[in-house]
Amino acid sequence: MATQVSQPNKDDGIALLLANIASKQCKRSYDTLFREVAPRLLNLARKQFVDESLALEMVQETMLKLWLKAGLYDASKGNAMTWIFSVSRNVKFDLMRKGKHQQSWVQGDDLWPILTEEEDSDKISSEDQELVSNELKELIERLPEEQADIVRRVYLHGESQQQVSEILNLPLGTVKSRLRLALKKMKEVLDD
Amino acid sequence: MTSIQFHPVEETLNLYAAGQLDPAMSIMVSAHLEYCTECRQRVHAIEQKMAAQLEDTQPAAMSNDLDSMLQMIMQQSAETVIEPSQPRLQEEISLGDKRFPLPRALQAHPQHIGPWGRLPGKIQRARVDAVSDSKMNFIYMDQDSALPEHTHQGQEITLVLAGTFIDDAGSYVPGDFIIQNTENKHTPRTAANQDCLCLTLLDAPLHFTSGLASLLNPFSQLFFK
Repeated sequence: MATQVSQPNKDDGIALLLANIASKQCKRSYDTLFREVAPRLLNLARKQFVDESLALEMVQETMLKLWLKAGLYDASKGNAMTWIFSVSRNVKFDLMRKGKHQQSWVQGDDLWPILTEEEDSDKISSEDQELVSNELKELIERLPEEQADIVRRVYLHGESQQQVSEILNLPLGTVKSRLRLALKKMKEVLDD
Repeated sequence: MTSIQFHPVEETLNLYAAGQLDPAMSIMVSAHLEYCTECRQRVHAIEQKMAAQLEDTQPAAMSNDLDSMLQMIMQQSAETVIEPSQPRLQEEISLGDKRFPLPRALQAHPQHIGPWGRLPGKIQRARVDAVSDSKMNFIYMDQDSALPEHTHQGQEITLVLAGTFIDDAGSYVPGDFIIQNTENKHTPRTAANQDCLCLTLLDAPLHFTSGLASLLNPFSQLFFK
């Protein structure tokens, strides 16, 4: 199976930063994330773009997307660093043809739609709900209450994330990120 | 039960995951991945490896450039950044009364897919506007049709999107990613009750090798470019 990124705990830390940025535009989290990621990205970008201004543009475009779209990271689909890499790859794909008279209408986001929300992600089939309720009730009990509550509402009671956000008076991004963290924790317990 | 037997080579997947494959080839690979779980997993594993390399990269110093970038970004919000509106996606391509799923990479760009035109035999073709030097086409073969035997002057990649076609070497199902070059001489055809839609990428005109069809050669540029 797929190889894991070398430091899984560090990756959890990055996932948490993304969750904080998504739910409350946390500047302190973003500052930490920026210092962790941007200088590495810049060195990588310098290997791919001779032009320093293009290398900086790749870093800036990528880092801006992380600031604005952190909520689109879905922990159930992979590591946080892998998602960050994918965002930077899409930016690079578009920049590589910029100013080279190689007009191309195909964009990175057409090829790798990582920054679009999937429409069906708010719903889960009734069959799956039953599986979840039977096997995972116990796991849910072990989550922090603020996460457990949302997991119960969405997966056991079938409320949509939008409804939960209204009932609990929380931003939708917070609901989503808590749900992602919760599912990730549960998955880790199951994988052990 | 038939399954996908023809895949892009590992090196192609590596370049694709890195964003270094040219745009036309990237469309072909991306469309193949929609059909092929195995290659999707391989690409995900490559992305993980590249992400690990990013993590292991020596960081550049936090220069003034980076500091001011950090400050500038944190002043932005969804309200200050104007994003291009999400294009309406066209999820299908239609031909007469038939409809087929359109590869996702093309769904935002239906205006770049030309009208259907007839080719010799019961073949129809719709051009996709140039994305690189090579030529991309949708090729539709009706039931019980065949293309004259031909070789390729360059490399041709055929991705089956719907239905099945057959040639001297075997039969091909949706998702099959078939690479042919100057070595391969073939006569693609469909069975009596089976039509077929493919997406093809060609870097040189076809060269017809048999009988009357070789008369087409001077014109193959017109038909297959």
